[in-house]
Amino acid sequence: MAAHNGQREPQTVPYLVMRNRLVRAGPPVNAQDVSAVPGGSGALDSRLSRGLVAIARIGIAFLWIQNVGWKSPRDDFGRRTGGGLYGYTEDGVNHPVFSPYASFLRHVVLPHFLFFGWMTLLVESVVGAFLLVGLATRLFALIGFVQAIAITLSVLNTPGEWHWSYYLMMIGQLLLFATCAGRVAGVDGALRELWQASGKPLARLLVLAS
Amino acid sequence: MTQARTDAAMRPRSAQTVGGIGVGAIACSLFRVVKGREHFQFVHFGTGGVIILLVLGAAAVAAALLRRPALVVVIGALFVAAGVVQLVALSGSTNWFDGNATFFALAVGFGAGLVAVGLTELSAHG
Repeated sequence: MAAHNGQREPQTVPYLVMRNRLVRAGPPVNAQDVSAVPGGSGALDSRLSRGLVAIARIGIAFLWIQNVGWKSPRDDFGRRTGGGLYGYTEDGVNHPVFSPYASFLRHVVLPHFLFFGWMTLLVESVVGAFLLVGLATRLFALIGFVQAIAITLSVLNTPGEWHWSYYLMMIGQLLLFATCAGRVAGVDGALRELWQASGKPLARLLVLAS
Repeated sequence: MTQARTDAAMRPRSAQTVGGIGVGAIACSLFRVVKGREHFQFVHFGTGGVIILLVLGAAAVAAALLRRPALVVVIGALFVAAGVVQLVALSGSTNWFDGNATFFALAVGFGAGLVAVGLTELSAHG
């Protein structure tokens, strides 16, 4: 970060800002000065933490991106072969996790599978895309969380599945939401000030989404 | 909408982000190098995809150095267009980038990020 007049330029430290809010009743804490935070271990630790938040966000983005690769409309998302996304959806019916959801899969999703296949591909692609660059990160972390629940409800009881894979998917999305992960090395961090200063409806929505 | 000053320079923070996306795009071309290693090849594309990532990534870095938001919007739109071409190719017969939906997601991500930065900067200078 460039220095002006010998002073470090303030950086956005979202999780410390949130902490600042929580300890507002106590002595004022400068969110840019981690050494002033009780229990804080200095700027190096802060930089490391910010870097790790960015790595987690990009890693989870690639989790979504890599897993749209096997969802292919060429075979109607597995409907013609009985595998792929269609096979996993059938697992939700054959090995039900939650009866109403299994019924929804059987009577709504499977009969209209091409539509739901495309929707799955688009939603997961966009979640991965936006998490990758850190744009509207909290919104897409929430969408990813909902999608992770849907995946969990489909395959949790399928033999051979490791249940913690799906719990970890959900927990990862919650962490991205909680840490406002797009404000670190992401588009949200670069533009949030301008969105806050703008009175336009889209900018206000992006402030909420980031 | 009022006319935006397309010649206005981006703020340094936005230029850094655009440069980061450009460098990221160039770095992602390395996924081609690990072809066949599923544990590391998160994104699938062929030579056409490599060209898109290298050319548009380098253009994004140049736009960041020049700090021109209008140029950033154009490069972002080209990334999104590449993503849409890949999406159409998923069910078509011609696959110019020799990729799958992973390349669609990657290109749309870079494109959306660049368009967001460029349009926000243009709007701020409008």
